[in-house]
Amino acid sequence: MQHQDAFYIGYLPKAPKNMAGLLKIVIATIALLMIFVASMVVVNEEKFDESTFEYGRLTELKGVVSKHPVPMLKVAMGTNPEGQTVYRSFVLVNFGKMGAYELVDELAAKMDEPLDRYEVTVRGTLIYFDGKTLLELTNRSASFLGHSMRNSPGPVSNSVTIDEAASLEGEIIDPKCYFGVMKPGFGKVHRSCAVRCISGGIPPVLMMKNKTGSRTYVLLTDFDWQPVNRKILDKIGKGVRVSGSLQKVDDWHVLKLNEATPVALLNDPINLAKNTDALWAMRDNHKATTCPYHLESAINLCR
Amino acid sequence: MAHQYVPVLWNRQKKRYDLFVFIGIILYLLTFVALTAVLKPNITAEALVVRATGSLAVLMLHIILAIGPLSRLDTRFLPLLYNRRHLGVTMFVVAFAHGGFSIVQFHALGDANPFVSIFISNPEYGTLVHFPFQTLGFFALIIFYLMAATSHDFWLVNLGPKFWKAMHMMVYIAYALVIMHVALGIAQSEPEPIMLGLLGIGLFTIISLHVIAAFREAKNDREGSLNQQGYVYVGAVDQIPENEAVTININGEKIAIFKFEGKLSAVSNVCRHQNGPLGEGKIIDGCITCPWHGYQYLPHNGCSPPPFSEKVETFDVILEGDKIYVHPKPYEPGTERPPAVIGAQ
Amino acid sequence: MTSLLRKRHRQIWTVTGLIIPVLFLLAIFNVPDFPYNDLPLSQRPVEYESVTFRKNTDIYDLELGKMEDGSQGITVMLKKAFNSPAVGFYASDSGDMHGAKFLFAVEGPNVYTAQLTHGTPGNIVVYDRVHKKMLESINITQ
Repeated sequence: MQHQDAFYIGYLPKAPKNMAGLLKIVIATIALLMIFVASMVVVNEEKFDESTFEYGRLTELKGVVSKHPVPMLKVAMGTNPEGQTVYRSFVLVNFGKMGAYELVDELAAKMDEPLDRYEVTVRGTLIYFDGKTLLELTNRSASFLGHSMRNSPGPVSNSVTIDEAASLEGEIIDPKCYFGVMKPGFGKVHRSCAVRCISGGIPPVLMMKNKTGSRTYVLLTDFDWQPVNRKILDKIGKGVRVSGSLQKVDDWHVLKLNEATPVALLNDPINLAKNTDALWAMRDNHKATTCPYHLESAINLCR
Repeated sequence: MAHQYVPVLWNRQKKRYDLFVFIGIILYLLTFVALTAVLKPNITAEALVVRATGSLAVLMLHIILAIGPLSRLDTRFLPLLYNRRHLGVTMFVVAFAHGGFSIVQFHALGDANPFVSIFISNPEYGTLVHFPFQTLGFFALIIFYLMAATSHDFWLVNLGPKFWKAMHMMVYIAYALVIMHVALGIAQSEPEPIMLGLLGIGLFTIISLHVIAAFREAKNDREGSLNQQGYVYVGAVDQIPENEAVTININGEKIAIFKFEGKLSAVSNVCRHQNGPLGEGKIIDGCITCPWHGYQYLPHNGCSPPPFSEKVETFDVILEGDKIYVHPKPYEPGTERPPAVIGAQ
Repeated sequence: MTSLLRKRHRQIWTVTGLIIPVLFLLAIFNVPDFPYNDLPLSQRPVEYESVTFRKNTDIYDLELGKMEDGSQGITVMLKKAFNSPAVGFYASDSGDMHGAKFLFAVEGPNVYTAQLTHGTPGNIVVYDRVHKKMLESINITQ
């Protein structure tokens, strides 16, 4: 046992001198440790996406409400030089970790005609990143402010089959969190939240990434365009391979998952060459062509 | 040494201690927030709170766990031990901010009860890397809550020191849970070598400190064996510094023999407060003073001086020449026993 | 610290001190890799017979050019999405949205093309249709 001249008693006013010397060093060390560790954590954590959730700000939009392929608001951007009206699809989600299927069904039930005959005014909160946009129906059913018959009731949706037997690899995420509400909105840390969101009806999306950081997104439905949420809850936030019929529905890619083995977990890193054929087929123009497009250019454009 | 219970027995040392803890926390959070604003401005407010409080709580836990073995290795660290409870409760508050925010952020406003969701949203209990790390954090937080809620001496007395200490030993289980919560959580999303390296250094430091302290303590433990008339030889009178003690372990009974004012008295080595080592204390103003929190006992009868009521067991001690012998049979706590007088035959 | 307490510490730390470092190392050295892909683009870039205007920025590479059949076209190779909810490119003589003609909507990194059926405009305007905000007005000088 150590023989100490000084003895510490906490309820006396001062600590003995030889202890005070060490204590000063200890306190200084701990102060430096506080600054050091805080710095290390912040400096070394991954950068966050520049995604946006316009929290507290409601925006009014006019468009056509659709349930195909998932609840969406189709907003006309303009008529292009070829004379086609170009629509932008705003994926609709409810407040919190809930999807908008019920709200759209409620709206449809109030209408005399099918939903695509109407132009609806919707107020909600915008969520956007990397070229994709969602609208949160923050006030739930009160988000639908009014409707009128469309002037030129034509189809607002153009669907094209890209590849009947596509096989894609990436991570299943929930678009509400990923595109703006949470950071990070992917990976293991976010997995339980993504499960809650997708379980609540938010449409699942496959996020695909290349090594230079560019990403592509594919909505997932079952083979009959119906929600597939409950069936894939154990595959969310992990590396997966999804198989099915790849479609382009306006500005979104959609994969109609196969009945059998729609989603397979990946254990090993991917052999990139395997998917190339199917991926080359992902084009607006569904006509088969010999593609002179080179990978190098793709990498140039991707940052 | 309360004979009535107050929330905190403030004194100058405790106030200074808590002030330094508060300053340390502010220093950490300010550094974190300022650097984030400059380097990672795209973060959300919720992610900032979760990460700042989580990382701070882990750092505080490491400091707390280092205090125990450091104090065993060098008694100059005892001032850090003195108010460790306040530090622990503060760490719980920071951890609660982290856990509470996370539960709301990741589990609320969905289609399931948030507390149920913690356990079922990612039920991969049979795997390692997919293991639900939030469950681990949840149980660690429960342990910290139980410790914080029972940190007051009121609970120490009413639950009994043995049960209370056993419950507070769960801090080591909580520590293991926290390490795995990080390794199976954020480390899976962002396996940054520097951050994991820091945590690895922390883990290695805590384990090493405990192992080193254990070996040093083992060397100091002296076993006695029964001798003539049931007495056990302790050592020579000169071996005991004035106003200090030597300790001996006889069949599990730890006894401290104090030398003061030309006399020797023997009492139980175990302080009634938190089982501190009385034999490592000193005699101050005629009282044996525990090195941990300053609890006091009179050497000739093991009683705390009035108005306090704690008592420890006493033992018979005799001198033969300059050889000290102690009888291992304890008397009831508070029993007065005559001290051995040095020089008398 | 009593001998019983020391014994408990020894037991706990023997278990913890051996198991936790092993689990810790296993966890951090088995983080699954993300399945990276080579992402294709949806559109092929248009090869112009002659390029009449070019502008390169961090966000896009823009080209105006003449096709083989003499028609004018515009191609934007978007490298990084605009931080806006719905962005369109418009042909405008005035330099703002007055009389602007919609060309195409842009989303993520991709190639976007359109024919300039009304001749070469004086400006190309980049406009956020939701926030009704002009993001850029590009003067096309001959």
